[in-house]
Amino acid sequence: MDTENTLNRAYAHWLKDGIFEIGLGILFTGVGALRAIIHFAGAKSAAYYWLSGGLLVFMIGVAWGGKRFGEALKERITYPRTGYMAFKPRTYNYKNILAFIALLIFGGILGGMLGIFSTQPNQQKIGVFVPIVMGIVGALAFAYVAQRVEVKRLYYLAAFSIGIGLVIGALGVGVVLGVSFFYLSIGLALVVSGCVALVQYLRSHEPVDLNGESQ
Amino acid sequence: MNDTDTLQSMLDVDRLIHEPARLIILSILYVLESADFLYLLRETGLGKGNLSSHLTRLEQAEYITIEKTYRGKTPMTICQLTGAGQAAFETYREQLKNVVNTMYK
Repeated sequence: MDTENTLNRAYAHWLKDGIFEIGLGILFTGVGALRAIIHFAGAKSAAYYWLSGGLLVFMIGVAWGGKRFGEALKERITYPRTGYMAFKPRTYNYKNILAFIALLIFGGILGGMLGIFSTQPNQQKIGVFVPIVMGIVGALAFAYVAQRVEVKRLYYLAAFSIGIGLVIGALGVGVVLGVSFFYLSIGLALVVSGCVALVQYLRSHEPVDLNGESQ
Repeated sequence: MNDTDTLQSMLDVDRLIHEPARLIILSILYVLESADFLYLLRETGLGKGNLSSHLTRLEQAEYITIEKTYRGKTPMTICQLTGAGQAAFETYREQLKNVVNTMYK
């Protein structure tokens, strides 16, 4: 009665069709691309203000619409093939609240550091360091999920994260562009990985007809 | 409770849950909010008729609820653990843990 293992199998089932990866990939690609365009538009241009607002709208839109669109896709693709399951609603116990606070602090520190770095005069030097750190953090996140749910392709994404972090760091494009390119690259990798997973899933799973069964 | 009592408590375990197929079904439903017939079919490895009969028995004992519904255009038979089912499963788990611990002392 390994409940942890049963739950991990459920997570793996949820990730199997690649739909979540495609959604997350679109979000990252859009954020990275918009951020890069904002950078090239110049700080005092009208495009800068429009696109800065657009970035926020895009993120909220993808988060809101993506959930509904993803659910609609799963209804058409996944549920008739490998079935439906729903996770329990998140419980706000002591451990979860602490983890959330830790995540907020970590995010705040990371955001603050990026903000400070982006205003420093020696952008080239810092621009090497930031994408490499992001690549390592991304790789750790992918590897953690991969080992937990035993989804092999996430290890490739972990390796890609480190690789692209090193490449962008070596290019020395500065902090803002470095971070933008990193998001863009990871986003595209997620979309590709998700599409490959979706094609493999569709090839290996036919819709199951349960009509006439004594359910 | 001494070791003999603990071992004898094995006789008191819920036999409805003790059956391996039903134990697997309850273990899955215990960690999830709900799951449909097809998901349980794939996860348990049981046949359709077999799974159906075990689900019916669990429903009769009021350990699970079974609801026939639609998600989009897909018809589904959704199963969910009840409060009584959760309590029974936790009691069973505790009893079994005590017995196993006693055996390996």
